[in-house]
Amino acid sequence: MSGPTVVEPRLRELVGGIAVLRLLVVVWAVVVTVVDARSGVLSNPTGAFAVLAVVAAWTGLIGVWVLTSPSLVVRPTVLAIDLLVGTAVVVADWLVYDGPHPQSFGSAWPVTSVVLVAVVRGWKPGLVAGLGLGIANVAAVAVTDHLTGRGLALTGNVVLLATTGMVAGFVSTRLREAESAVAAARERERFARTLHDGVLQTLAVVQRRSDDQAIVELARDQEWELRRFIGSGPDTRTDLLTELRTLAARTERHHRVRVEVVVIEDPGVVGERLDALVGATTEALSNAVKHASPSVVTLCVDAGDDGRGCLVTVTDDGAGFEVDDAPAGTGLARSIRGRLSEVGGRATIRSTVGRGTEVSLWVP
Amino acid sequence: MGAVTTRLVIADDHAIWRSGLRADLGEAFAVVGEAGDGAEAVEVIRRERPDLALVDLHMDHGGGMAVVTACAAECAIVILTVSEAERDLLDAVAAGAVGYLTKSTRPEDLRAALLRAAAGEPVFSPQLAALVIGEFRRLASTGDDGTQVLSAREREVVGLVARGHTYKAVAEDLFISPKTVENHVRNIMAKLHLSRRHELVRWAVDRGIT
Repeated sequence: MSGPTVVEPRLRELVGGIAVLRLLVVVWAVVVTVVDARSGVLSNPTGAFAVLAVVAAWTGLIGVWVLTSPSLVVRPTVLAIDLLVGTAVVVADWLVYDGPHPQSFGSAWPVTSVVLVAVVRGWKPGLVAGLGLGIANVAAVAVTDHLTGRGLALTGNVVLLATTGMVAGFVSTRLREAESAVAAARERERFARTLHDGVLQTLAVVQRRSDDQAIVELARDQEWELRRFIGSGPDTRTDLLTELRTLAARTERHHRVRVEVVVIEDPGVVGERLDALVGATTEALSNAVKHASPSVVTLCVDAGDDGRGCLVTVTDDGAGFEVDDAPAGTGLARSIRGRLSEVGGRATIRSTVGRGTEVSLWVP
Repeated sequence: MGAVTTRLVIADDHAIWRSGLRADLGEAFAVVGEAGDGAEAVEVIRRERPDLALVDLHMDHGGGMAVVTACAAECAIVILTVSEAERDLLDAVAAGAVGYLTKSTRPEDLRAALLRAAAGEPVFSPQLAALVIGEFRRLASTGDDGTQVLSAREREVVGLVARGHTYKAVAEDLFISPKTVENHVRNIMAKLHLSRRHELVRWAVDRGIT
């Protein structure tokens, strides 16, 4: 199995940082070992220096790979070997010392192994690596018979390693996700600007210059599609606006009327409340077009009073009527009020003869 | 007839668009100058002193914003844009443009809107009103003392316009004259301009860029 062949810049930086940190850790370990060899706490100085030599060589190799071919470093096999070296250091640490000791040469390097795994593979492998290393540590202590009275400290150590792996993995993943999200947003923005300056301009010109109604409608539909596509980032797309814009375009095509969709704030309604709101709006718009002969109908979307729920107003500049005289059981009463009340919403209507009608549709 | 013709300057970086506009404008307008970028537009407007300038938001050399900043006091400026969902559009309008039109506006609507703008009436479309409401909400949520607050009446006016009511309908609804509605709109835009400028200054001060 081979790892990813292209290593993104951020991951390369993180891995590079770990490599540098490791180099320092190795230097520190050499100092500790020399000091301990002199003071005599080391029972097996030769073994300690041998382990150190292996660790230093491996650290150097990883360092060279980071610079020359980072894709090698993130390979699962390399990560596994790295973790094996880390485990070897943890175990060796207890074998070369003669009993409990104030500092140990092998305490820091294995942590960088856990962090490396976590940064490259995510929080779960990081957690597992940390746990594994911690358990190896406990096992080594048990084998060398130093367990008595150190249980709590060792448990703490296991938890620390596991947490390190988890946190490092989590932070790394999040960082890289955020970065790719920013990159995607930038790309979309650039893309949108290009379309604005080119294709959308052209479509606008076509709509204005052509006398062929079919072509004008085609251009208008395409403009809508394109705008929807441009504006359809993961955060901006909402079903209500899509539905209302489709409804507006459809109504404009079938009747000689202009339908504007105006958005003040979109609270993002979903599920049956969305269905009820779209249904009620469709009904209100259809009523306006059929009975009032307006030139413009405006569908305005906003949050309700005090920011609760969602309000759609359907305003026309048509004939208007006496609200009290309207025959009971018409579209408004049955269909609109019925739909909305099922989801706890309500409809209100204001109309002035000669000036137009405004129907307000609200869902919680 | 000649006396009522509105003298107009068109600024847009696409020549095909400018010629398209010329064709759409018809007899009520005399195009006295054209420009392909912001700097040229300022020059042409200063030279020709038109009644009205129709200016694209995005052009080289400053675009619509530069034209508004330089010429809003001498000439009514209507911003042309492909998308109303741009905050720099709000800046241009807040800085003194009388309004904006999207490029997909139909010729007859375009002519009507430009005649109103030439008569000094702000082209305060529902979309623009919605943008303004959204902006004031955003400003209010920053909880900054320097942010201007709309009066209850101004909120009412801008809300009605956003929902698609004409000035005339708003005036009748609120039992005030259309002139008063216009004044409210002017005040709203002035407050928006002040708030946005204040926000910009505060932003700069916070970051030590003064």
